Amino acid sequence: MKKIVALSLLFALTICHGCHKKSVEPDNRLHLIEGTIRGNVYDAISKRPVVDARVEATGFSEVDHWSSDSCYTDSNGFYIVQVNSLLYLKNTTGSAMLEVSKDGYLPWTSHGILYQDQDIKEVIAFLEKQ
Amino acid sequence: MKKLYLVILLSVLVLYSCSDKAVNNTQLHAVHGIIRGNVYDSATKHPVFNAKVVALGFSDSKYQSFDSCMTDSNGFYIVQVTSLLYIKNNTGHAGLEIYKDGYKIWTGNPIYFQDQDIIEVIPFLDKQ
Repeated sequence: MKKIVALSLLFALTICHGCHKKSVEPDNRLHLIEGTIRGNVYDAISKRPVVDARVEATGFSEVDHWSSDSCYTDSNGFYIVQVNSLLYLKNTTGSAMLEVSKDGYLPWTSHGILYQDQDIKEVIAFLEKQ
Repeated sequence: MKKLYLVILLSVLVLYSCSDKAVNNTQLHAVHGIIRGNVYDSATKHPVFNAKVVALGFSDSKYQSFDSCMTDSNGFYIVQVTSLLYIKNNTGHAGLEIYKDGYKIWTGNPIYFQDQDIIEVIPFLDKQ
């Protein structure tokens, strides 16, 4: 009887120790997720390309790090920017934000652009006149 | 007596859950999409310049979105559509119409889209 009790206690202690270890030592290693956002910027009414608009992309991380990249649209309203996020190993989806600005137009923002490593996301912006 | 309380309690719970569902079913959310592409002449396969493209977004409610544009020198067009849908639904539906003098009216319906989708539609217009 004593043997059974002792074995049960030992078993319970082993399980508890395992759980405790897991909760105390989380996996806090990080990895870098890189993505590309590209697309075109158009006038919301005429649907013509908006040339020379400033496009700024921000990539958010799970630690105190964020990426920033920017460019200006070409004669077709085309832009391309890079983003990256530092994430814990268990997570694979990064989050980014895109801001487009141009004189004479209202600022345009898109939050929560989700991407995975090496994704190429297409985001089309329609700017409204001020 | 205890049984009676239990029956009353169960009835209240059932009624509450039903009413909750009824409220949720009437809630609407907006689903936005983009339709783009190029318009071509069906015989020559050349781009059709300055054709009017009209896009309508249909909803679960009375709301209907409207957007339009003219094709450019490459026959390119781009329009936005929005559907207001009940929470349980996430697929919007749109209709596309293309008008150009000398050509038959072209219609595309239904065009299904989910939130932030970019749908490519390439219409070929037939001469009248």
